[in-house]
Amino acid sequence: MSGHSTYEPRTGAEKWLERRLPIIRLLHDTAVSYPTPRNLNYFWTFGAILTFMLVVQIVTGVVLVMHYTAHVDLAFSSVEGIMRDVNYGWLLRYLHANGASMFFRRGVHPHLPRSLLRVLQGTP
Amino acid sequence: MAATHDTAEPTRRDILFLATGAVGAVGVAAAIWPFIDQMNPDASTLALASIEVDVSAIEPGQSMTAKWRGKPVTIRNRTEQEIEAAKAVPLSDLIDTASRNANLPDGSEATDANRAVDGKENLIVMVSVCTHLGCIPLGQQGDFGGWFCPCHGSHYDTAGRIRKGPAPENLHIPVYSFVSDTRIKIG
Repeated sequence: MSGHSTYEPRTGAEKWLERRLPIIRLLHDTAVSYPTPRNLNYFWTFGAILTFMLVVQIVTGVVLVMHYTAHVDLAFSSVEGIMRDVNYGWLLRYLHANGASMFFRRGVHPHLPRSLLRVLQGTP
Repeated sequence: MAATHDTAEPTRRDILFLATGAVGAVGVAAAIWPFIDQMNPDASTLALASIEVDVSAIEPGQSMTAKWRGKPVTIRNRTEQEIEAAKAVPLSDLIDTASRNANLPDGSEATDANRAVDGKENLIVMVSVCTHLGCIPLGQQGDFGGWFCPCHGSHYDTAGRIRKGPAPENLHIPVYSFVSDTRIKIG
């Protein structure tokens, strides 16, 4: 990256947040003003995919655990309750279950060799 | 496209941004809705629910239907003749002599007094699901002035008791109580 961050907070709220925790600056520099590297290929999308799947898994997981009973005799019934009774419970369960597959198969598995090769090759 | 754009005139880019933003907003709302709705009462809670019904609008001779736990409950305001006709029926004439009234202990008989509440005999509350194979009997029809099930021809009298036809039991009466003179709580 060439030079400093180009982010300028404009509204009062942004300036307030900027002084305490520059999260908007972080996101801006990562995703908005980051210049496209010359060697970029589609393998570089998997990092973003992984981040998105992580957020999905956390949110669906937190919501699911509120309906789940972690006792050996009651766990199965609680999952059936999620599937049948909880509004959109079936959707949350399948989002989380398939989200785990997406996380690993579409995120981690492509991401790992790309990152390792990058590290082993060294930077220019 | 014109080479120069007036700043007052919306550009194609502006329209595209607006359209994308609108579709995106709808998408975000649709994605967030399940996470909010799962906090609402779930199906098993609603299944055990009670309902309160205002019966003041039912004129004598009229009925109304309420939905309770997914089933139709018919509430009829019986006329004097209908009540007298029901009371006059001897128990030996009935196909099913059990009262099928969830408010009474098992084994009570299907007298008219056991099919309605004392003091409010004009109002009869029953789950209007035919006890034969589950069709909805039609009110104010049938040979006995009560209900008639069109599926297989079961006739119920003015107290909802089976008199003729293939149904084995009287129409079931759910647990209910009067919370006031004009409101019934079912369930």
